[in-house]
Amino acid sequence: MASTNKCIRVPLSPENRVAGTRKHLQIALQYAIVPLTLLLLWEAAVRFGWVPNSLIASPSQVAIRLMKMLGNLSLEKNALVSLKRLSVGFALGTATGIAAGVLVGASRIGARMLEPTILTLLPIPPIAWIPLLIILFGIGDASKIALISLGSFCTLFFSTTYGIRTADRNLVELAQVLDKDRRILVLEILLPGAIPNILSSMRVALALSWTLLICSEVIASSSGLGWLIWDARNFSRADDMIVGMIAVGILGKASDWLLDLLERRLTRWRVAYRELQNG
Amino acid sequence: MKRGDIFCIRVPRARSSVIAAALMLLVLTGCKQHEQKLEEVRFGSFSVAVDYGAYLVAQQKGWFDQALSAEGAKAHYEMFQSLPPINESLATNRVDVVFEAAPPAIAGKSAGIDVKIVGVSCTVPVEIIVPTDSSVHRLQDLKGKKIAVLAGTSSHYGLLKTLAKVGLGPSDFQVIDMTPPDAKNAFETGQVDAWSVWSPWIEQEEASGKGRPIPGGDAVVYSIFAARGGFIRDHPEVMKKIVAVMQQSKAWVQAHPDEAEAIVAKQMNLPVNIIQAAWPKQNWSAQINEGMITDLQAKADFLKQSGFIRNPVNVRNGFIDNGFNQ
Repeated sequence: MASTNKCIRVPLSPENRVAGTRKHLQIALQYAIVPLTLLLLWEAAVRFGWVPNSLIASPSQVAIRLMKMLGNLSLEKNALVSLKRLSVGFALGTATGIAAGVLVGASRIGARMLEPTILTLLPIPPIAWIPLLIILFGIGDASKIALISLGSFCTLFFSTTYGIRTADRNLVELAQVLDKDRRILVLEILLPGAIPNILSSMRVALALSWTLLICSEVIASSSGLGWLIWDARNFSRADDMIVGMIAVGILGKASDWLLDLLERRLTRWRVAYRELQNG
Repeated sequence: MKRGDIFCIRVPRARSSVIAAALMLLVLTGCKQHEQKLEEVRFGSFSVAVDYGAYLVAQQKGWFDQALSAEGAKAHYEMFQSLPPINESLATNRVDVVFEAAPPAIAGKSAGIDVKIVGVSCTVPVEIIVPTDSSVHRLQDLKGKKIAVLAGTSSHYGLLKTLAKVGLGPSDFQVIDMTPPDAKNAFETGQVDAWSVWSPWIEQEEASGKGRPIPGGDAVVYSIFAARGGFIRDHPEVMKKIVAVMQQSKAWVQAHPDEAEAIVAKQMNLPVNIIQAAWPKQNWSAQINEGMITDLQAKADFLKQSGFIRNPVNVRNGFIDNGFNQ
């Protein structure tokens, strides 16, 4: 996009330059003020004993521990295990959710056969499935992946069906007038029309996947970030516990950023409010 | 930005000082609430275990309430389903006396929580069970197997220690961290190869013909009761009475095993034959003594060496308070 945004550089007068720097500083401050205040408050709360320091570690203790755990690879190992479960579960759930959504959204027979069942099962919170999933898929990776994909499936099914049903009526009529067959109607009109819906709900599904991942790793596990957090809590290792939480936060943000990137690429044709905000 | 502005939102100065005062009041009242006269002693226990027999009998017979009524206080009982909330409650003054095994107290002590062991309920051997039709007959056969256990319990310690004795290190088998109810499910559906747990879970599997213990292993669970340091300091006389009730109850359950078994079975909502099978394994005459101190120190050292706890715990350095048993 950079090429289209080229602008002519006008040499700034000294006053303007000062104003520019001040503006940059102001923006940096707007970004930094909340995290910095939170960090300072947190450090103070632990140092001055406002919170029990046997249960909550200070940011400085956590930072030291984070370096140690990165150094001995224990954090990376557990993160890899979690990322594998997350990506397989998310991919599986997303793919089946979109497929079922297209089927139900585009075909009346599909809707009659699947929709009532899926819509009845949809309101059951994925966590309530855990006991059944453990019995069906065991306590290994399979039940964890199943739980994550269940969450993604529900989210994607809903948004895909909705996206297809709210497709542009004019385009659909046009395709019918031009005698296009169903395959083309689905692949070239209905599905692309639903893509903004699908992509934004993929981000919701991803956030849910992280939640479900951590839930599943707490129940029966011996590795992964959820287990790391749980095990640290079990033995009152407050610093390890917060390192695990931070790792989840950072990886969660990174994965969301990747999806955001994908969303921007695939929906470039849509002019959204976001572009106005970014100027 | 002018003074009195909080970033871009203008807050009238008078109103902000009212908010600040209200917050201060909230903090102060929060700190004050536990310095009142003792109204309630909060007892906590962990999971379902036969080794709490004496505690359960004292609870059911109302002996704690009797002893506390002289102080104008009442007993409140809480059961914890997992370990972390116990240490978290001790650290935040939400429980006073807890009944558990020694390792969680050691973990709490290591993290700097002010907790002291004031007595022993009983001792009981650590047992590992396998499905009845399992090919595992000796401890050595557990190599490469999946073993369910709740991390941080005496069963966890006992499992690692027992298997280390037959030459199996932590990488020779897989430990699956599960609470007893989850582990029971996994064990009965064949998702784990073995389960290290305590009574009455062991006897339930034996009675239903689904599990059998593997012989061998000499690790012992010390079922202890511990108290919050602050509680002991503020109410030493109450602490002494509670310990006396426990001693009385331990003597009573030894003298009246049938009645005690019936009470425990009722409290746990289990058939009495399960409790009867578990009862002889519990040694109710156990007390704080040199052998117990040595065993707890070995547990503390093991937890530290294995990296479960961060700071070493010297058991002899004020962690055990035998003064109330005198």
